[in-house]
Amino acid sequence: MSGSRFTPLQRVLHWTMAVMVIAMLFIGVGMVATLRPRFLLLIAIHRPLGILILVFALVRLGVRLRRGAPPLPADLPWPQVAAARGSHVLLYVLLILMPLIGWSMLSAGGYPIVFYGPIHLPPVMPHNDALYAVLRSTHTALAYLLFTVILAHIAAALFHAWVRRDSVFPSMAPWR
Amino acid sequence: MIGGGVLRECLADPGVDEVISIVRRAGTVHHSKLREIVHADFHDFSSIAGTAFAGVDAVFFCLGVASAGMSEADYTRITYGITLAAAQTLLQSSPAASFIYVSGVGADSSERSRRMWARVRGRTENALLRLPLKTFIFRLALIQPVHGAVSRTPSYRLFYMAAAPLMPLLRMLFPASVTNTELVGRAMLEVARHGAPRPLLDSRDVNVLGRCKFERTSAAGAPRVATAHHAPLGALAGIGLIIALAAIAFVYTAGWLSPNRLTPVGMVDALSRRGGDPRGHRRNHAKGICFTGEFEASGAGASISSAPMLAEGSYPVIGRFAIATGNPRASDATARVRSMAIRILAHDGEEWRSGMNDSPVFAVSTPQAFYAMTRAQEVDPATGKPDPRAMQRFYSMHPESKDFAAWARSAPWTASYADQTYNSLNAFYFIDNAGRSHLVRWSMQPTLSPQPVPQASLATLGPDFLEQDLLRRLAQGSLDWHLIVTMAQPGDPSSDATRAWPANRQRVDVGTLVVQQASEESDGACRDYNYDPTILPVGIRPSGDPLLAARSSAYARSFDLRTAEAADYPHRPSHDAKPQ
Repeated sequence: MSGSRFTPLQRVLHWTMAVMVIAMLFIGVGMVATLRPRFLLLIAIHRPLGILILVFALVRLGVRLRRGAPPLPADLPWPQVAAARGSHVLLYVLLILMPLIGWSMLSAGGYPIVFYGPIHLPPVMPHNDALYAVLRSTHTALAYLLFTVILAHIAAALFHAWVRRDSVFPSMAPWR
Repeated sequence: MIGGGVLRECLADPGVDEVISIVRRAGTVHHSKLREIVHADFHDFSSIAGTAFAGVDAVFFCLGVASAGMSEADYTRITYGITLAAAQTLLQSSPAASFIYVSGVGADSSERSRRMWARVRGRTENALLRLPLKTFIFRLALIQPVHGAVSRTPSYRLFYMAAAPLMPLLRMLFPASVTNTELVGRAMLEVARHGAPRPLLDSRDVNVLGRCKFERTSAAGAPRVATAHHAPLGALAGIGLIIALAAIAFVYTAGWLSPNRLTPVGMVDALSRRGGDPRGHRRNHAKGICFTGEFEASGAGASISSAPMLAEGSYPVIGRFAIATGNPRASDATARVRSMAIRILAHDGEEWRSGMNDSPVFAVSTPQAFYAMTRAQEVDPATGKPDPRAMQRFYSMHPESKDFAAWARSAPWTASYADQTYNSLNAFYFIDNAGRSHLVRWSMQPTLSPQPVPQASLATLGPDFLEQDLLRRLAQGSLDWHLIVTMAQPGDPSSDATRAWPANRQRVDVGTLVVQQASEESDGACRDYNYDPTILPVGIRPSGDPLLAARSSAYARSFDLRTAEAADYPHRPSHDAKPQ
């Protein structure tokens, strides 16, 4: 990657996904805590949005592998470098894994996998109770983990922007 | 405070040759570029005009006092008098220089404000702008002290200390109102060098101008000003605040801060406390038996819904008969309500799931009322029975339940699942091929007529007589139900399952459910399905009945629980259960 910023495509993908993933986490945690009519709307958004996030995450991973990322500041201490590398790998893994687990979970639970209206996705796992139970609890646990990693990601981004004031935040900033 | 910040930036700027500071008392800053001139009378600078004002490029006028407790005359003498004295001296000594004046946001150029300070500031600004000098006025609001700048006014000092953690957040939220001493200093240098598009500048302009300089130096490859070690506490606290707010919003959405919110977890917990050990089982309609069969659509439904399983043809069904109980070992004689659940699968993978009861109406119309009813059925661990008065209390507080209660009192009991009518209770919309929606309810009507049995004699039939009866009948041949769709008229309730629709509504017989085989739930295909009534094919949509969303949400919770409790589910060999 040449230059000190992510490419415009990478920035668009990042910020679009930021909105989608944060909305997704709130929808997910909110829908399992409500009996109100909005439950049906939330779940009708949750499933197709998950598939969209999967598509975006795969595209993004491809772009990242092709275009790379701007170098981290040379004076960044090694524990912070390690945390940055590790958390980004974890984010990519979770962003791809969460929709796949959701899809697998619905398959194992014997649920139809409705994308929108008559558009269905095929099951990717056998209909199996025990498998469903494992995937269902994993989906919740990884959602909490993903939210925690995203909070750490935001905190680190603001740390670069406000405390270190280095090149990291501007490299992904949506403006200019 | 501002003066200190500006002085720091001037001394740090390699383009500044000399800084002349006019002070009343000698200061504490010492620097090779700094020349301090101690001068007592700030109303008359004529004696130092030659040493302090001649040959300068700009004057940065940072003096100011708080107006609180001052008369207009006193405040004017300082604010107006000293400023104009300095500006006049500059005009005579260096007429080409810039004069940059720090004013406040809210200063009133019309000079008619009801606030004294705003009038005086406005008057001062106007007088400055009338002079033939390059004058620029910074109208500032909140100024964050950075790099150790300190306000002379004790109350301001206290305020800035208290507000420090919020500053980064405030700067982000109110960019037009917040700046800091560093940016003010840089902006002054920028304005002195290159001017500004207009003489009156607010905090947003100052922030932009202050950063111009910053970005020009870094773009040119000059060493950046190291800022990482300056006053990070405010920024860190701001980050902490943002993360904490996000976490609180998440936790609130999850319901952890609202113990009184009616959630699927609370609902299913209440359903689980109605006797017996429900672990591993559905939390409602816990005792049941699986069946398989076919739905033979007549094609009569195709004109009112585009659902693929209403087109003429035969579609596989996996279903379940059950009694409405929380106890998977309840005696069949104890349950007033029996149910049928079906999953009709179309060739293209579209599914229609439905859970139907044999009561003509439901007992309640809202999830809250259902929760109250469930709580009334809770078993007291001491007696092993529910409080007999609790249900009476519930009925007395829920007049909408009277039709259900009347049915429960008077409807004849039978000894079979096979002679019962099962009703959708909730309303749905059928969407036809033209996109028109029709409000409907549906029923499974048996081809056998009900055989009433005295309730007292049911107990003598054994605890599982319903399952045994079904298996016995199916051993001799299949059992049929007609799927009857009832079309609403305008005004019929769409969202109230406690109210029946008038009997004269149009009914369409859309096909026959042929139940062919039954098997113990532990071996049956139905066990691992969640009969969520909102799993619907294209051509059928849920109505606005609040029970539908609540059923969907609570069924999902029940499904999640029982699939995770597989260890508690009794897997019995199939031959134990089948009667010979």
